[in-house]
Amino acid sequence: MKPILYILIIVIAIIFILPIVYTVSNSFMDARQLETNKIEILPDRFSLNQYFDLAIFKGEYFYYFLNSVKLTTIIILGQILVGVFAAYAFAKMEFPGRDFIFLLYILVIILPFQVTMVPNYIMFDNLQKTFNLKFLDTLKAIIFPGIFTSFGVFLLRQFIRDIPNDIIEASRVDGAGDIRLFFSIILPAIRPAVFTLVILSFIDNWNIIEQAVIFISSQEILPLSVFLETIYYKDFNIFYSAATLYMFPAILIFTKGHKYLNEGLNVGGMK
Amino acid sequence: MEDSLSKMEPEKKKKKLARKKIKKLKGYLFILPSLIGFSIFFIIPFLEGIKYSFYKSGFIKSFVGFSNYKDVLSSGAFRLALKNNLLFMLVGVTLAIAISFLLALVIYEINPPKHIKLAIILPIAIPSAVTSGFFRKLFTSSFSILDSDYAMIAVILIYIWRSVGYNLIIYLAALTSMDKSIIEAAKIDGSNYLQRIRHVIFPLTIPSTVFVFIVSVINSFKVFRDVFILEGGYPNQKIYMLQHYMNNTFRNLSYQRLTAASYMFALAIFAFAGLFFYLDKRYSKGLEK
Repeated sequence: MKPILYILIIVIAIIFILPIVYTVSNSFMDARQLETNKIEILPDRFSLNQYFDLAIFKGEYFYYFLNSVKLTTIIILGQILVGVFAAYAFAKMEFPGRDFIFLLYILVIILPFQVTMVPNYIMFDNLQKTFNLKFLDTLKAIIFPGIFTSFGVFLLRQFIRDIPNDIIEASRVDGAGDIRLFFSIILPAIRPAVFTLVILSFIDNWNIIEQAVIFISSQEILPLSVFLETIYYKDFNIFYSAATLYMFPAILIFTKGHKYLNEGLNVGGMK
Repeated sequence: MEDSLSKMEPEKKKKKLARKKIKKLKGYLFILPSLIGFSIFFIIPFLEGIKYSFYKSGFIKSFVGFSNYKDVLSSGAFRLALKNNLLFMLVGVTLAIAISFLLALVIYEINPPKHIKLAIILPIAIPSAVTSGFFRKLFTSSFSILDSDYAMIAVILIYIWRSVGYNLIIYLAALTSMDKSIIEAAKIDGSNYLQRIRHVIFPLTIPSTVFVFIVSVINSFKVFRDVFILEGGYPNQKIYMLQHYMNNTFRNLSYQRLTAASYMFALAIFAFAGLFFYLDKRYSKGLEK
């Protein structure tokens, strides 16, 4: 039985990895081979032409990559900065209305973007009319709601809640105030949770599509997650090299950090 | 001496009370940055939007009752999208959960090298536009189903490919943290492998299944990214989803209809999630007994 299962799992792994391998290997094919209708995995002739063309003639595409970097980095940093404090309060402090507010946070997590898109849009509109703050058609329209999505708070709260109260009490007895407690006990203890949040948030924001399509109309500020489609139609001959380069940071972060997901996704369980 | 002691007592109490108050305020202080942003971008506009859903139009602010809601419900595009979404979720989510449970069992049994596991999980990290080249070729040139009546099969396959990883991580953790003595005991009692899965392993992983289910539903909304990248805003009718409907309503600038649609969407999801939690609680109570 075991050898059969072994073969089965290897076949499944190959199927799952195929779209990724295909993309990478196609980035080393020349234009002639790309045009065939069959799915070809191996390049007839190993060629770096796509990458040369991309670097020399289409250097401007690099800006879209930078848009993605900018957007993803700011959202992740913002989520952590804002999220850890709120998560700590939800997990370990008592104040009136705590559980109700936390329930609101949870409810918003499960809503798809299309439901929160209207509220977001209404608010952008209000902010522009009342305070002359321009959000629409800027990266801010993606970044601000991104920072304040409640998933990060939820994830971090689950971790902080699991820190034994004894440890917290002990450090209080030693005379630690909230701030010191926060930096010397809580932050070190939730490092795996922060890494989990970084990875999950990266995966989501590196692949941001709906927000960009709805809120951004100027092409030059689009993230590459959307603009890659334009490259597909305009410059198919270099598409796979651009796609491979765009996928590279995702694979790198994921292979380095996936072990945190094991722990991270599982405290997420409702307790 | 005694005098000063008795004087201190009420003062101490006062201080303690004050400290309690400060402690309460501190809680708010910690959540404040998050709560302000969360309210500005989600809660306040969400409440304000309710108003829109009862207006005639953005310019004519007269109250029209539930007519926006009725319009949405009777619209052909909405009904088509709802039907497709339900079908997709019913088949897609069920398959994704079943496949990941079986995969987790197999991986748990044979404990293959970790690269194999990584290969199955990796797709969750790949941006939709990156693999659009492959999927377009697979589903239009090799098997031309994306423009046929069977387009939903392609969407479900892409969804499974992209979301099994999350489920697998959750199930594998549940299996490895399972108390092995229970399984051993079941073995000694003479149960076969299938019986053990059905009567021991599956019930023990029910809490994980609840979580897997929620994650799968959240991910099922995100399959829209792949469909949108592959087919744009107006795909083949068979895979026209609620998200398409809402995006297009937005582009047609009918916010009143859109808010009405989004409240119904939200309500349906909340009701569904509530029901699920209720069933889960009842089930776990039953287990305790």
